[in-house]
Amino acid sequence: MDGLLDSIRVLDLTDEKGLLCGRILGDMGADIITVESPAGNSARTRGPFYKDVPHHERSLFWFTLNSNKRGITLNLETVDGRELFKKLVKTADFVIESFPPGQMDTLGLGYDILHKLNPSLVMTSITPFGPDGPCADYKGSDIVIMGLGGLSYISGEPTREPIRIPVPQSFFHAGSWAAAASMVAFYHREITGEGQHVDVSMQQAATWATYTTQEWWSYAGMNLTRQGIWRQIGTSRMQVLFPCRDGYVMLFLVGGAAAAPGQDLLIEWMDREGLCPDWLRGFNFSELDVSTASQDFFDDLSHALADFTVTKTKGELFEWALKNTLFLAPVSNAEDLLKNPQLQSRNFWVSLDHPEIDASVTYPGPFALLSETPIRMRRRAPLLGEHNMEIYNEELRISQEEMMALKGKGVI
Amino acid sequence: MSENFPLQEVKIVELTRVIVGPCVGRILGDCGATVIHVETSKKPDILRVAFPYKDGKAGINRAGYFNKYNADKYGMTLNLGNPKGIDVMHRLIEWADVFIESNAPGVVAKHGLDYGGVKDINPDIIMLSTCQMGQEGPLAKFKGYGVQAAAMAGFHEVTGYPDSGPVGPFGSYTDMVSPQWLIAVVVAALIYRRRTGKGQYIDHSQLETGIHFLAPSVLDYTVNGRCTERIGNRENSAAPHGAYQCKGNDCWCTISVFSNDEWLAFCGVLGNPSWTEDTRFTTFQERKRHEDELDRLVENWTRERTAEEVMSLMQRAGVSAGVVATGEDLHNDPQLQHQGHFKMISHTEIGEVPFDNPPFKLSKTPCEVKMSAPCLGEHNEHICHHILDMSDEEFIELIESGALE
Repeated sequence: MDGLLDSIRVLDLTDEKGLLCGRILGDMGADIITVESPAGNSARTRGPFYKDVPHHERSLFWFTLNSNKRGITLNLETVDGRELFKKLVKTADFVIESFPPGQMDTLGLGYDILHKLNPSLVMTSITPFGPDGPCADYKGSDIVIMGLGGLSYISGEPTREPIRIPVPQSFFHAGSWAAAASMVAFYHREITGEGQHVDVSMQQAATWATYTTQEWWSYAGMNLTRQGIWRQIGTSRMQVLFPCRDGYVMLFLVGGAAAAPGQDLLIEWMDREGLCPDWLRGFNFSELDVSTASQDFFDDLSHALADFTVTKTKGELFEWALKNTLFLAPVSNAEDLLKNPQLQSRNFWVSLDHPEIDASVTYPGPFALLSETPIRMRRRAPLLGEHNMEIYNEELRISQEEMMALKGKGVI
Repeated sequence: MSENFPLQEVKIVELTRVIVGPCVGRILGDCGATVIHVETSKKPDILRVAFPYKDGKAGINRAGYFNKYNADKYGMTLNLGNPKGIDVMHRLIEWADVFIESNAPGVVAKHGLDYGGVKDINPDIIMLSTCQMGQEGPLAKFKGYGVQAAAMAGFHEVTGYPDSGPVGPFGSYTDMVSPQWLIAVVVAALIYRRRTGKGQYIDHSQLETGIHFLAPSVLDYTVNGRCTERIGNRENSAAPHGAYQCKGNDCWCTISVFSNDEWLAFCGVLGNPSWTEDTRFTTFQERKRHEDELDRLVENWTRERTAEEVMSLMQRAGVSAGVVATGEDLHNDPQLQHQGHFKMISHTEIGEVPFDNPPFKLSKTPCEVKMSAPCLGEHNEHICHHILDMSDEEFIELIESGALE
């Protein structure tokens, strides 16, 4: 065995909401077969697109979530399609799906039926709000789920609307939690041979991304609120995002014993460059009690720091911070990430060939480094129906004639 | 234990702090694993001395932040600088299937608890190290918090209003995206070990997992050379799409309209006012072109209603909408209540408080929070007697030596 999940097969019926689950299991070595309707998975219509040309084989969103998977087409709305699916279920260890609650049952492919076909099957269902309950049938787009999950309310400027991360986080929270839950069910199966049904609620998954929002209410009767580019400290707020010549940096200043050695040195550096106001010269952060310092003090400090940072680049400030120990990091864009020496030294970036678009695409690589069973990027995302022959003909022994007939009937 | 928890035979010892490491142990504990959280009273976890405290009263056992990520664990204090303390740690390593640590790189090695050292004690152990940048590399020793890692991973650059600088999601967001993957990989490694007898070492960088949560936007750069810009709450394939102010103090409801059917349903909820038939809004392309004006008109309507009202009117018509939930709203959310998301559990010092359940349910084997987070050193005696089979004399000697500080 050279992957953690070698010889494990997963049938992945999910759309964009759940595709990350299979991706993670695939990264760990499982054989993931993504099962799409002949019209293609809806995730293929999500941008961005390769060279900005919208096309179902050019979605970068699809590329990232389906590396390390094979792909077949199958129309579960047809009787023949369902029979074929049942055949595949007998070969599988997992089925992952993200249809609306109850749809698998309506198709005659609910857990009870699949369990009879394959008692050791683990079936994982990902839904916006869980399988039942007063809001189970609510529609949940990413912005809606991140709002109902609690992260949006605390993100953004206090005087403006709550803000969303513009890459659909709720899909990724749900998919990664589904991978965790599926592995827990798999462990039970490993001991007992018994499969089971796993339910993942996207809203519940999102509530795990909200720090102490829940506890501020239940412990202190208060709601955590948006703090924008500041952080609340005692009764005052301190700026943490600062402009620089080519973007922004994040800088945390701490008082007392926890103060970073570089904080006082930063003031000295400002002074050497003639950008330290008189009152700040020689300031000693270890004597600062941030819990009692006034808002005026923090505002004056922020202005002085911003006047200095804006004369430097992200790279200059970060390099200095590393040398002198300062809680400062660049606010990276994608270009910075590709140049990041840490990521390069860990060989994080991996190229996969996409011969059909005559391109080699650079991807984020292994999500962890494993000593015994390294995570590998083995294949690019499948084209629509790319592995139909491999699965239907070579494995299930369906003749090419029969496959043509199934194709004619819109089954595959 | 009468119930059949999926990981009930799994034994975990952790030398973890702050969020990611503790959260991994917490969820594995919810799934039935026996988890021993080792800490020291000499330098308490910063989450133990962080707001909010129960009833606003500061105290090492009163912090909601620590309690959230350390439920379903036995708590032990050990002084690893004390020879007897390190000896107890070795015995826990010997006992465990999994060792989780989340310290700065090099810290556990100082105590001989790097993978090499741990493997000498327990050859087939699974060890997970999680830190901000990964164990090796030019930035491995980077000093900072998860907020800095989140900024470095790229979340802040892309999150904010189009007319101002980066804002970012609240807090140390890389801490919010990492534990899930690590739970998956640790349990997979346990299964692999059952099959092959081999343990292994897992080196995890929170920065890298953060980047996975932005992967489509990163590919837009590696393929198209484009860095994602801040677009507020907008979405290329939807309009309206945003968080709209509602009646009340800082109350908001999100609404997203993707398809034409959803647009017609949305207009129906508003009572088909004449502006919805204006050519500036009748097609998706036109709505995108006049999105500022569209948002203003939508907000004129939402401002007159509560967020709950907007959500239920929209959802009844088949339009995706939802309250932008505060902490209080989460506790009162009828769907979360239906799912038993919060469970009241009695904590030794602060009494009954709610704990979040894991975001998943297994049909045959329960996974739920069962035991409150430990007070500092709460289970020292239990662990020494019942897990390490020490005599009373041995335990008393340990206390007197200062090993349990």
